[in-house]
Order: sequence, then structure tokens, then C-alpha cells
Amino acid sequence: MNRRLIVGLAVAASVAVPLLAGTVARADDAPAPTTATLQSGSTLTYGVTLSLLQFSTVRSPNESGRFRNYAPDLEVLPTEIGFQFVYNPAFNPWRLTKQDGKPFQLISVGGALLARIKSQSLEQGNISLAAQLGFFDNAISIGVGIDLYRGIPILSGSGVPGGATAYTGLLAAAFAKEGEVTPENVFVVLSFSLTKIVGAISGEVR
Amino acid sequence: MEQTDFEQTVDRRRANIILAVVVAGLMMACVGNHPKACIQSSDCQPGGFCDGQGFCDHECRQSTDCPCGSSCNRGCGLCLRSDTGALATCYAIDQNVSEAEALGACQSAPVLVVDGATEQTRAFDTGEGGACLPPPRVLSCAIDAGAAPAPAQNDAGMDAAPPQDAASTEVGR
Repeated sequence: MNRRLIVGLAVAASVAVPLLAGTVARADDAPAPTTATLQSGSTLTYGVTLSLLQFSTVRSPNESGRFRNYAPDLEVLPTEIGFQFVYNPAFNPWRLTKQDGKPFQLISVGGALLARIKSQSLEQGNISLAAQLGFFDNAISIGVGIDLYRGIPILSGSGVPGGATAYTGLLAAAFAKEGEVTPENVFVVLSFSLTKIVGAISGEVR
Repeated sequence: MEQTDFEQTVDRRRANIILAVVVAGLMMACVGNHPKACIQSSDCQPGGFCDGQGFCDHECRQSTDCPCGSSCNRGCGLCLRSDTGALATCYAIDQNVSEAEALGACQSAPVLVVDGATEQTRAFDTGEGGACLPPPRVLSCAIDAGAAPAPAQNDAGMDAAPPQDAASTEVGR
């Protein structure tokens, strides 16, 4: 099981590009994030996030779920929406002071709550939590996430692909008779700030 | 009126206790006995089969757990018709196991011998005070996500109407 988990950790990677307004070129697609400046000078930014690309492991809906043949699965524009927050501490080594006296946020921490709703089959949605570390003024961040619940489509008894659901995730393991935590429930989140990357390429670094 | 440090400490402790009780309550609410995970039915104890989600499961332990006209197969823990040996209920299909898989798990079942004869099922007509009707020849098991429910069965256990949707399956032919 440990080996499976390690393999799952290595393979299961979810690449999410947050559409936090102000940090992404297509910020008009998402509501503007809210920034709160705390007494210490630290800032807290939060807002809606959307995933553009997701890479994870999942068992095939064309075979019985009991085989647990986890295979990589790349999904473009998954119908996943979430709430993301980023905390920018105002002290060393998180925030540095540049030569010109301006602050530079080297590292920041954050988290996200992601949810996917499949209207045709609610039980095959998912709710996930992720913790992230952002670097270089949040130009790039990496994090680890785990599913609270994820319904995996599997082959039904009557032979319909995806016609049945395997219940996975922490809540499923805790509360469902046949729930379990599998490598499908662990993922890595990579977030890129498109605005900053495009700006750096075009020489317009803010 | 401002709280003293002592009162604040007491409040914090009280909050921690409440939090601990809530967490403990959630943990106690968790399912205690998870069934054994499996990949194949041979991973399960005799009397069980591996269901579609990958856990050992069973429908019955003894024939008294089964509908009339069927018996409990001690190898797979499923109720099989006495006359045709087909699945007597939709249980296996509901657990996302096809009929062929379910019967495959049952075929190696040891035959229980009672008093020199195989344990016979409750025969169709042995019910006290009336006829014991067999399960329907054709079961309509509609179990897929978003599929229509199975057609209603009448009192005799026979199908009221044949299944119309592609998501249902018929077993026991």
C-alpha cells in the first residue's frame, strides 16, 4: 500500500492555473479577489479559482472498480471550481526587502478548497483540500492536495461504463461502508501566475 | 466588563473540550468495521464475493436469508435459484458485479451435505400455509447512475413490465 501511495504521489499531479484576478491575464473571467492587510503588515488574499488542466490517476470506467488499475488521466478544463487563499507573511525570510527598499514576497503559504459537481451524477463529484507554498511573489506555487470525497466512475453490474461509483476520500473512508482512501485521492497542485510569467517573458515585470 | 486572565484561560479550556467532544463524536460516527478489500473473489473468505467496488460482500449466510425458491450458495454468499441456478435477486448486480462474474464466484462453492443429501433449498411449495412462489425468471435490475428504477414487481414476484432502458439488465434467463 505504501508503495502504491508513493507511486500515486509521484504520478498524481494536478496542474491548476488559478484565475485569481490581478495575477492572471484572463482575470476578467473570475471575480476579483479580496486582499486584507493585517496589522503586522502581512496580507491575506482570497478569491475564486478555476482549474485549467488536471493530471491525476484514476481507474478506468470501463472495468470493474475492484481491479484498481490506476492510470494517468489528463483532463483539460475540468469543471472544478474552488476557493483559494494566499497568506503573505511580512517578515523575514518570507518577505525580503529589495535594494530599492521595496518589499519582495519570496515565499507565501496558501490553501484551496476545490469542488466538482457533475449534474448528471452528483455522487461522481469531488471535494478536495490543498495546501500550497508560493514562491517569487506567487509567480509559481506548489502544493499537495487530498480529496475529502471523490466518486470514481466504474463499470456497473449491468455493463454500463461509468454507471456505478466507487466512493473514495477521507470522508468516504470515515462514513461509507465501502469507502477507502486510494492514490486517486492524493494530488499535487502546480499553480502558475500567467500574468507574471507573460510579463517576465515580455519584459514587463511589475 | 473585561474578563480576567483566569476567566479567559477557562474559556479557552472549555472551547478545547467542546472541540475535543465534537471531534470524538465525529470519530465515533465513523464506520467501525470496514469490509475486507479485495481484487478477486478468491481474496474473500468462503461465503463471500468481491463486489464491484473491491470489497468482500455477501448476500446471505444461510438459505433462510434468501427468497423462496432459492438457496444460499455457501461459496459466494449469494442467493441462487433452486431450479435454474441463476441469481435469485438483484443483489450482485446492485453491487456492480455482472451475473457471469457472480456465478463464476459461486461455481466453486462446496456443496453442503446435510444428512446424506445436499442441503436443499426451500422448495417452491413448502411454505407453511400457502404456496411459496419462486423469484421471477427474469430479474430487472436497474442500478446505474441516473438510470430509471427497476419496474415494479407484483405480489407474485413477477415482473410487471419488461425493462425499457438500456441501463437495466436482465438476469436469470
